[in-house]
Amino acid sequence: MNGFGKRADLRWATAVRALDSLHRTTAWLRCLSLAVLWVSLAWIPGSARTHSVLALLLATAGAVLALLHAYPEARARLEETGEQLPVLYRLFDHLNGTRGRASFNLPGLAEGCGMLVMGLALVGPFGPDDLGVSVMIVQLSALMVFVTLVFINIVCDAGYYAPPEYVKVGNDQSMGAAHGGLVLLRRLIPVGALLLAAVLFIPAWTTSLAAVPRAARVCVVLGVGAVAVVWWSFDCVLDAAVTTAVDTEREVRDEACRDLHSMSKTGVAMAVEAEHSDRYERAEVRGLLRDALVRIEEMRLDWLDPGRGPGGTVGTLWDAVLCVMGSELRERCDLEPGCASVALPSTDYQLARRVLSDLVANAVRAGALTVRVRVSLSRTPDVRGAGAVRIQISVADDGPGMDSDALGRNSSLVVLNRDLDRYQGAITFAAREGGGTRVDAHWSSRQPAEQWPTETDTTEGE
Amino acid sequence: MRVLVVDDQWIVESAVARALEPPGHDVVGVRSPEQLGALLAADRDFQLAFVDLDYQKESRRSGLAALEECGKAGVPAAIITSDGEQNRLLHLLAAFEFYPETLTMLSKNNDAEKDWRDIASAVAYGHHPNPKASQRFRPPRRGASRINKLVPKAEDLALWRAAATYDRHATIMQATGIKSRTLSKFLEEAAKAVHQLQHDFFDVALPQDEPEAGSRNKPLHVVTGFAHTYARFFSDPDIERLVNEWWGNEGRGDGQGRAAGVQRRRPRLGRSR
Repeated sequence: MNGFGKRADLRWATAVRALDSLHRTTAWLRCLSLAVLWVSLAWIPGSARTHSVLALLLATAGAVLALLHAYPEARARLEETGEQLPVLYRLFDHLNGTRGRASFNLPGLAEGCGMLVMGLALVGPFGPDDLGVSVMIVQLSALMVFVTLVFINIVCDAGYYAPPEYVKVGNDQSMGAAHGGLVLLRRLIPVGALLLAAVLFIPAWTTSLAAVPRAARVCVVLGVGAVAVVWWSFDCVLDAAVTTAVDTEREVRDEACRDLHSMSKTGVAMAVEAEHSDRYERAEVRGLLRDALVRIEEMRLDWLDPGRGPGGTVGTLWDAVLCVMGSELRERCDLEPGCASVALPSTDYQLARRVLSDLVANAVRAGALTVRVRVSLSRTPDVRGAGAVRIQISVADDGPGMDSDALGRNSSLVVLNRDLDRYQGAITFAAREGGGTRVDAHWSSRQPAEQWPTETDTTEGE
Repeated sequence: MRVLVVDDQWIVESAVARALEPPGHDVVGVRSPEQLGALLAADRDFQLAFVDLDYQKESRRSGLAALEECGKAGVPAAIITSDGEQNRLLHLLAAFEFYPETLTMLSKNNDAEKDWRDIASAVAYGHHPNPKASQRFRPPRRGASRINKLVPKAEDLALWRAAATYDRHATIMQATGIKSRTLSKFLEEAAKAVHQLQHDFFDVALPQDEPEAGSRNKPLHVVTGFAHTYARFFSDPDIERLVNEWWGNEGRGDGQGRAAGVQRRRPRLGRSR
């Protein structure tokens, strides 16, 4: 899927989820405004009461249906209690089928027609006369709140955000783009609603309306402009949310792609190159592959706990080195306390990776039952007389020991030794008293001593 | 001969050192353009640099910054990439556009050992190493280059960045503050350049027909998709600087780019140690 398609899908799915919540809130607010209208009937003359009750009925039925539409869980409970009512099933099927689609539905039609009936027969041209200013202002305000919320519900419908293609995100699935006629109708709604309200309520159709000052009627009518404001605000928030989601996903993918490319592919490619070359020994190729494996493991650990910059601590490197060994072998290896927090600059970290993975793997493969690793830093004057930090990795084991000419033959240690030589370093090894071998790899960091963190735990060397 | 390796991966430096032994070349590696700048400020005595285009977490800058440092220090540079033709195409084109003295490009994973040795030998003897490898990425001597067709004016970079972030006319206009007509014109031109680039490098067929009236979103889809893929290129501060420096908002005329009149410098004779 291209970026455009993904964005359109996300826009629709976000709209469906965000509007579920908006529709629930507005459904309650519409019920509240209708409740105010019903209560206001207590203050109108008895002769006008039946007329007003009839004017309110359709909108009330629509509001209750809209509330049911917004609460699928309530529908499920009603379905359980009303098992014998096939009409209920058909109604609920209809409500379920219209979620996330821009289409005519029963609650919408009932509320829309009810709104018109109320506008005409409760407050507008055919409303009762002589209701009194207070009742009229309350009814006019409550009706305009209802009208505004109904129109907000219509323009902020997830169906308008659906892409033309079929989309499934989580449990939500779209049914294609909204019909062109509906899209046009939606665009006309803010202006249309304003005009309709102006025609119904600004002229003094009845004595009741005439009792309300014209300025107050105009102000109440202008309130319907909230439809456009809410629509515009929702679109802005929706765009921002989708852009954030797409950006975040792109960053994650980009990061993953770059990690895969640089950390895994380069490592494996180097091993393949070495395998093709007549200059490399098998042990060297093995060393390169082990290095690539540790990189992949590091990448996995980094994805689980992101945020590491270039370089890293010996602890994170040690975790990766252990992860590429079998669990039985892992238990034999131990990093000295205090070493895990040693932070190394990038080049030294990568050198340490190569050294550690090689030396530890060699030790356990040679049959050592315990392998103890120590990483230490020391400050020494470098060849130019300036300060330099030297890094030393010591691997001590209780294995049968290495041949004294191990560095004189073709092995990965020989190549490693040559690499360390470019950093004024070397690998040395010696037999330990009581059995086993101790291998020391040391080199000078290219990062000047003054650029190392001051809290770095170093000892003064000679 | 002293050779620089500018790559975030130490393993590449190690492989170059291995490839160039035993004649005794001195290989020095740095992990980022910033480290390269610091090194060259103290020591410019290098006869060749292998420069990667992307430095991952090591630096937010690209290989263009490293080529700039090499150029300032007079160190001949060759680009090394892993399949850069696929995933770093625009950076590669920009490298040869803005730094035409760049020697060549080679892959890290396709007979790299031999290429590294050949290039080092060629530079040591004052030859131009493997010019064919970079030919298709160099700008034409006449007419607009591919980068110039994509970004005819420096201010278009802001549009590309917006196209990488947004996907609708309204939001792109809102983000950049341009008019609808200007955006439509940009999208049409940019879509043409994208089609041509994809045709030239990825064998994608060129669209047969001109966009029909009413198909306003077609160029938008093409441009936003492409901008999305190469978002890092369009937000690279070095690209912004170089485009401003070389053609700004005036546009690049025929033969105006650096590459147009470049006198390809003979690489300095290598100094064997």
